[in-house]
Amino acid sequence: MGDAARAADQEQRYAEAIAAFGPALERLARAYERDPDKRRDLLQEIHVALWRSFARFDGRCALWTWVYRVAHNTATSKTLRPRTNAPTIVELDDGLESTAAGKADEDLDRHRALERLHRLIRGLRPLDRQVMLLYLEQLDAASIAEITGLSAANVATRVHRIKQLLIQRFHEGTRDGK
Amino acid sequence: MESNADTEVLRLWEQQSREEQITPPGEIQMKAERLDAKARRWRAATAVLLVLLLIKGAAEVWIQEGILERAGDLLLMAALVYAAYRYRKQRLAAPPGALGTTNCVAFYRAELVRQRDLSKDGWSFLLPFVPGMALVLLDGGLGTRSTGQLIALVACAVGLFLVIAWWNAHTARTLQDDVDALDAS
Repeated sequence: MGDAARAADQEQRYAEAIAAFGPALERLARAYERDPDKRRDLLQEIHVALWRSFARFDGRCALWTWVYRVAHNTATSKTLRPRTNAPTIVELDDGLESTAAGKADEDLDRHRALERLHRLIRGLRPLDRQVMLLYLEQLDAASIAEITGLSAANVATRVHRIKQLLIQRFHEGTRDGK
Repeated sequence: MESNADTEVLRLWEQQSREEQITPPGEIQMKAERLDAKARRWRAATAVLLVLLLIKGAAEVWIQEGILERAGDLLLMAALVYAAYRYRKQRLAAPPGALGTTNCVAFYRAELVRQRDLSKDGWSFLLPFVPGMALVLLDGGLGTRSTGQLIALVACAVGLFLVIAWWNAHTARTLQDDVDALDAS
């Protein structure tokens, strides 16, 4: 394959990936980074990494496996460094009022619920966070196992624990109106 | 109840509003090329800085008369070359980014190990500068400083190195704990 054909192939693969997984990548970046500027940077890095990676994509795995691996590995690499220094403490209402000002109560509740969910995800260990995000993207255990490299049984156990965690922490918070 | 709770969370997750505009592939390609160019410029600037530092060091060795200071400067130059060599060797040894072919567990483990080794390896960059710095400080201090001041200076330097050693060991231990936890899971 010539350079021009390879470049066109790379561009097409990237366009396909973004059409199919663009919103999921945005959700992923939002779950990894709370700060809007850092989040934008992370998303850009994921897109650049994805673009570069398609120069080596040989179709040996499914497109979604490739995309999620690149995205999660890039995010892990970017967010691993600060974790070893000092974890950021995220307050639920911190900065929420200004961004949500003027919204209807229902929107505000949704916004709070999402923020609580994001906070919960950011507090998880990297692998649990990855499994949870893939679960939230509604991938089945076998697909999550393929992306993460965990065994299907291990994924099933983690997903079960994630569900329990969601019910305990997320829904208790909703009921208490926290 | 569990499935209702699940459905609610999954719906909430999926219905998040989008913030970002879709970036066209051409623009992403340009960004990737700009990043590559920036990395190349950074490498070139580092190489030029190294050469300038060596020229400055060589000039000082030529000009100075004190044997201790000359020896110290020569040792510092040697340390600088050694540190640059180590850094280059480490960079070349780093595996090329295979983000799509490496699963998340393997990638995360490799990142932890890489950072642990960097923490452990910090010494190989710092220690070579110690003999040169010691000679330069000794030469500067012998004529002008009292014994007490010299002892205080040496104690400060040793203390600083001990703090760095402790911090590096602590970081390496934390990262090793993470690797162990990952292997056990």
